[in-house]
Formats: sequence, structure tokens, C-alpha cells
Amino acid sequence: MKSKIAEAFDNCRKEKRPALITYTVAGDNTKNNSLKILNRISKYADILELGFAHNTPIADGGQIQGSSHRALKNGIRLKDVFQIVKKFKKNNSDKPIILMGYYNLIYQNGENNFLKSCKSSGVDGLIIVDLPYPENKSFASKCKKKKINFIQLLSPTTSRERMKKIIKVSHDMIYYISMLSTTGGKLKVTPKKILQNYNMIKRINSKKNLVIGFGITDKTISSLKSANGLVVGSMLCKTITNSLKMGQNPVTKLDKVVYNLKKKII
Amino acid sequence: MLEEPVLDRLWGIPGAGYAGKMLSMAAKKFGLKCKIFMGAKDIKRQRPNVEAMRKNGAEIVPVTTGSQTLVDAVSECMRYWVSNCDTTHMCVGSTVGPNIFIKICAFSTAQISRELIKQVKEEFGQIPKKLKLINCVGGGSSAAGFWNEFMDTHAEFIGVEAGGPRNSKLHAAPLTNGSKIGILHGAAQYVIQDKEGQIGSTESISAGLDYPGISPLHCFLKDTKRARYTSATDEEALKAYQLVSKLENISPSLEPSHAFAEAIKLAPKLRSSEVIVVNSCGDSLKDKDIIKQKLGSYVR
Repeated sequence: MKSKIAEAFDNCRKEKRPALITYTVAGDNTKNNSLKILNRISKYADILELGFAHNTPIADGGQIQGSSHRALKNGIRLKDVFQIVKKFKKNNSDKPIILMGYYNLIYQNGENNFLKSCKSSGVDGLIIVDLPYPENKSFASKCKKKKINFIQLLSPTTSRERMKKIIKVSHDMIYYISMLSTTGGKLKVTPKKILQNYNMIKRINSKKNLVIGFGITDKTISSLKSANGLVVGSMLCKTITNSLKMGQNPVTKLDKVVYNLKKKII
Repeated sequence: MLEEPVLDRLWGIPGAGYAGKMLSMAAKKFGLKCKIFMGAKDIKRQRPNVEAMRKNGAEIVPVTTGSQTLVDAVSECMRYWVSNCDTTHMCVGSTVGPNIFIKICAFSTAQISRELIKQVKEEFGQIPKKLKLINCVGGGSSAAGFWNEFMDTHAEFIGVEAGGPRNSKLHAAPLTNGSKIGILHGAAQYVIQDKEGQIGSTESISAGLDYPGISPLHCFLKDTKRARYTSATDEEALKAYQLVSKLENISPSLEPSHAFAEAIKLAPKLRSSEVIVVNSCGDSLKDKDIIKQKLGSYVR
């Protein structure tokens, strides 16, 4: 049976457009609001990434750091993250959810225990930022056995030889980091250059679903739409920050922003 | 996929500022741009070192997130490096971070023990039967360097962590207090954390020891029982600083004062044939503001 993530890509392929993948942090700005946000933006997004906050997020830029900080300040815990997923999945069982975070939380929770919670709440995939290949081999194969996608990361500094190895062990989705940056950096490479690298990776294995993330906003998203999928994260976190500053409802604001993103890639 | 990189910048992260001082000197000598990441709290409390770095032309980047100390500076420096690794070298002045940075740092500081083993042999004709090498441990760089050449000898290694202020629970002493293994800054290590895996805050009078993790290298030495670890409180370190400055012709900074505190504790129990060497790995001048605040005056 195909995974929900693979199905989401198939559907987008039929519609000749990239998958829109959003990233928000569980518990930002409250547990309730983050669930409401998922419910609203899932109308437009094909895959939802949900961050579980860590207080030492070394790969994240200012925007996502801010969101993680808000979530932790609100007392978000791993069990709340799974609760949010479970509640979301009740009404949206076909919409894939990917949890994204740092390995220490999984390590302290216990890998098996963590995967059990993923399974029972309906998590479809995992992106673990600080668990690179080959250190992730054992955990990634545990995920595969549980039919949870472990999403490998590639970057502009990944050598071709290493890419081949990583692609070989990858599951249904691979994440290409567009440039040398933390999350939310300004796009400092041209979309043309990013797509050049993207196509080079696709030539290694054209069947794998390859998505591009980091630095993608409403201004750049349409120029990258030949990719299998595009991830927007920091822009959404920034939207929450700004709407809180202005005393606006982050849920409705985000709904609009994601709707506009979707319009740009159809 | 990258074009051949031109590495013309050095970015570093010192805790107390020594490594930053040295790095800024190296950068000046070789005409490289140099950025130093320090916690805003550390910039304030290690002013003399910061001034020295500025004089050498380094740009100091204050890190204002989290506890504004070493842990946040390492995170921020890593973020910058990830974003600029095509033009920039990252230098870590502690034996922390991903594998290679630990090796580079420990290799560099090993010069201390290369000299020490020579001096010990000159002084005693051989390595004394009972020899204790005492060093403070925070980021772990000076202890690693102090012990390296003695690794295959019978010398006893004692590492002294920062016990923090008396009655405080925020010790920077993961080895002494039996913290669990966790992943911080790209390495598995004993680290102060809560049950969920969120990294805990620490508090220490010495900026160089104020870090929730501990070098994986020292975790290994602890697990294999090659070294033993203990801690000294802020108060004990201050007392040791006062005593050593009064009696000896040196004035240790607050980091090695932790090691001196342990030597002072141990010495009365030892025979005269037993030898203790303490690494006085820093000068008190950089801590003059803290010492003035805690003891009322600073005399050098």
C-alpha cells in the first residue's frame, strides 16, 4: 500500500503542480490555535509539517526560533504535539503530517516509544534535523518498518557520491535544502541555480519525490514550481509573529497567506 | 556542487574569551576577517578579553538569545557557519561540537602537556609514581590538552566542574551530578536537561565553565574511568583564587581557581612524595570585574 505522502505527490502530479508543504510549530501561539491553523491551511496545503519545539534549535533562523520559543513558553510538551496530530487526523485522515524537530527529544523519549506515539496519533513522516546520514541508518529503518517516512536531507554541500547513497536509502520523499543557510534565510541563490541542482539530483533517481525548502516565500515560490514539492515555513512563522504584534487573529491571517501561496503554484 | 571555496574568514566562539583572543591574533597575522560570537552576558563579564579581541580587529557578535552564555554562542556561531561555510572556517575554542572540531581543539591544546611532560621529567627524572593532574572542565579544552601526553602513563587525571553558587541548583557539572546522555551541538554527551530533552540552564561565576554539556571526550574518559570528575562551588573557587594569589606568584582566573580549590582540598591528605600539578589555564585579569563585585576589590 502506498503511503499517504506518496499519494499526495501522485495527486499533485496528476494536477501538474508541485505539492505545497507548510511548516508550523505545534503550540504556536497556543495548542488550540496551532490545531486550528492545521485545520484551516490543510484546505490548500498538500502535506503539513509540524515542528516539535526544542530550546536549542541550531538549524533554525530567527523566525522559527521565535515560534519555538512561544510554544515552549506556553508549556508545549511532546504528548501535546501528538494530541494535536491525533485531533487533526480525526477529521483529516488522508492529509499527511510530518513531524519535524531535533533528535534529543526522540532520544530521551526512547526511539521505540516515540514511534509508537507517532503511529497511534497518525504521524506519516519525520524530519530530524540533526540526525544525518549515516548516523540515522538504524532509526530510519525502524521508521520504515513502522511505515513512517524518514525524510532525508540533501544540501548544496552534499557530494554527489554521498547523495547517491542517501537517495538509495531514502523513503518516499527527499528534502533538498536550497542554499547554505539556516531556515528562513533570504534566498541568496537564483531559482535557476537551485533548479539546476534540483535537476541534477532528480537525474540520480527520477522516481523519488524531491522537495525544495529554505528561503521560499510568496515572492519566490512560483519560480520554483517545476519541483515535486515546495516547503514554506519561516514565512508562516513570521505571519504568526506579525499578527500577534498587530493584535490580529493568527489563524485567519495564516489561512489567507497559505491560500495565496497555493494560487501562485497552480 | 560547490565551486572551489575561498576561505578568507575565521569565525570563532570562546567562552571566557581566550580562544577568541588567540583567534583574533591569528586572523590579524594572516590578514583574515574575524568574527567572534559571545553571549551578551559573557561580553559584559569578560570585558578585558573582549577589548583585546577588538584591538586585534575582530568583530564581536553579541548573542542575546537564551541564557546569553556559551551554549547560545555555540548555537549562533553554528548557524552562521552553516550559512557561510563556503567562505568561512569555524573555530571552536572548546572540545565541543561535531567530531572534527573536538579533535582540532584537543590537538591544539595538547601542546600544554607536550611541554609539561618534559618539565616533569626534568624536575623529577621520571614521571612520579603518584602524580595528580588537576584541571577545570567546562568546554574541556584545557583539560584535554593538559592530560593528552600523559594518557598512556599512570598519572591520575582529576577534572573539576563548575558547582555554581552554593545552594543553587543550576550547576554546570553534568559529569559530577550524573546527568543523562543527550545530543547537543551535534554530539552525544552528558548534558544538563529536563525529562523531555530540553537543554537546562546553568549558572557559574566563570564564563569558561558555564555550559550545560561536557565534551564527549571527557564523557569517554569518565566512562572508561581514566579520569575522575568532581566540582567546586563559586565560593570555593573564589577562596582558592584569594589563597593562591596571596601565596604564589600567579593570579589564576576563576576557571583554574576551581582546580586549585580541589588541590587545596586534596593536598592535606597526601604524602609529601605525591605530586599535584594544577593547570593555571588563565589569568585573573579578565575576571577583574567579577572579582571586584564579589570581593570588593581587585589587586593584581
